Amino acid sequence: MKICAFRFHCMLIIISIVFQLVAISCGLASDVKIIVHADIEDPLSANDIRNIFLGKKTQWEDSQRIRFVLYTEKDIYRKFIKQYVRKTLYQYRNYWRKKVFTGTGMMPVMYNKCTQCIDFVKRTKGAISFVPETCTVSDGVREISKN
Amino acid sequence: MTLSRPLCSYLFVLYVFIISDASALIYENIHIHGFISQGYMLSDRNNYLANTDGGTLEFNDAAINFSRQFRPNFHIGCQLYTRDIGDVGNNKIELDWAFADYRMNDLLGFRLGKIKLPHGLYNDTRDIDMLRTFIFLPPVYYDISRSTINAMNGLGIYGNVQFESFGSIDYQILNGAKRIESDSGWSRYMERRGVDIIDFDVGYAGCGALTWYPEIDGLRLGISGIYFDMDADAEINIFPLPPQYHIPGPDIQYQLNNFKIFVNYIEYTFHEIIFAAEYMIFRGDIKVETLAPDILPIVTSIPVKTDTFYLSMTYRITDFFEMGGYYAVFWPDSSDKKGRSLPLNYLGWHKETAICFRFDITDSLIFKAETHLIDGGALMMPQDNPEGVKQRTSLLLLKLGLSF
Repeated sequence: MKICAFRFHCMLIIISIVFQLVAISCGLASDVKIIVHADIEDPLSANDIRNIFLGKKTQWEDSQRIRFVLYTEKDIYRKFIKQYVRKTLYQYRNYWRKKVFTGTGMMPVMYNKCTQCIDFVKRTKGAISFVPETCTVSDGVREISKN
Repeated sequence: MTLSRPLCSYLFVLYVFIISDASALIYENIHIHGFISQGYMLSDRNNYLANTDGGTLEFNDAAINFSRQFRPNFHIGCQLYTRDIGDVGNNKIELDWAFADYRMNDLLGFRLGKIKLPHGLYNDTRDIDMLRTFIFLPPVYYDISRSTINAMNGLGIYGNVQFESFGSIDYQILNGAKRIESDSGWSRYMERRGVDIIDFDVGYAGCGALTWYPEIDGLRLGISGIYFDMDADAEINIFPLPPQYHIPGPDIQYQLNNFKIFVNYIEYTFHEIIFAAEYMIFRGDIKVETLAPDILPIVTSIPVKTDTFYLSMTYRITDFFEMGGYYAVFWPDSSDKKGRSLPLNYLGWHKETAICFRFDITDSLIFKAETHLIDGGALMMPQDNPEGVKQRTSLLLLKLGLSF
């Protein structure tokens, strides 16, 4: 059976025009707060937060290494990445996959429970993460306000 | 139709991963990631990259990589890669990259080993189908150039510079050497110019890339360049050179001097829509010298003046569905864009439109369907089209890929 590639091409153009008319928005869930290890006292700008989660800012002001961890519950994850990193979740995942498959970076640590994120930040010097606003922060972890 | 062994292996791996939850594997702090894909190509009129006229499954690739972080700023990794696309690859396993990466601070890091070349927007990710909308990247990244500009051995420095009100700049500089196999895509391209490469010898190779992220959300602009000197031993084969370059072989030496490739690129991301454009130029001099003792030595110089560009747009409509398209042009000789000096003028260009649909069935499993309309024969290989290259080609591509 031989398919006419030209006809298929025309068909895809028509389908693409139809799909261009479809706009799907997704609702964003509850608010996010950013947490750091208790020793971290650096003020953080929006740009700093973005660069940290893109792996471009790797040190605190005292030269201590930054260790960030991702909370992967989808609504919170999506909201944080959109608001602070200014990428969609898909674009952000691809950003790190590119690093993994070109050898230029390692996939970030990820947890799907906020208690795991808080625990990681608590026991890791230089750590930073984000959790839902409703999540209770324990001792050894500091919630930060961005500049 | 019987299923080939690679295809059977692929289907088996696919089945295993679909019934399990495919995610990264970690063993003794070694992170293991990989991908595997199988495609189908069908064309009318011309064969393109393989025997596509009757449809072909000779279109697959797979990779696996291993990385270990020893300190937060130091990791080592390597990736094995295999592919088959027509006569190229034939599922031979190659070392795609392997290097140590030490990041001293944000401004400066070092890489040592076999490193992917950061050329243009997508050269370093050209094999990683899951990262893009399209199955075939535009001819700026034409498949035959992969062997030449994929990766090199050497030392690299890289970093990120932040400015107060100027955005930021990522830079990368690589110095070293590179090896090109005599059965690579580059050899196939040279075949159409009349020389059959027996052995390549590339001396110095260097690459630099600069990407600027201005204070405009989603915008990045850049320039990158590759430089190397290449010698090759070759024979005249059955595809004749244009009359002015005809050499009465049989043995010749082929030198590509001062070979430079530059690309300017821009990408703008607006929510779910990504616009991209690149303009690439190839410059150099091919010096062809006869070596046969029984004939008069002849030295001929052939200038390389190749230009190519594309414009593309992709739109992610849902988590499940994305679509995109591009328009691209390739001129093998930019001083003769209308092909006036060629026996068939349409061999002087390659103009291509493509439309692609991508379906993310799961986070790991992707299916793509893509069509291309091609005008011109500049990138059609005569050896794939023994009855002659025709002006127009339609191409249908399907690809299923899995990553973890």
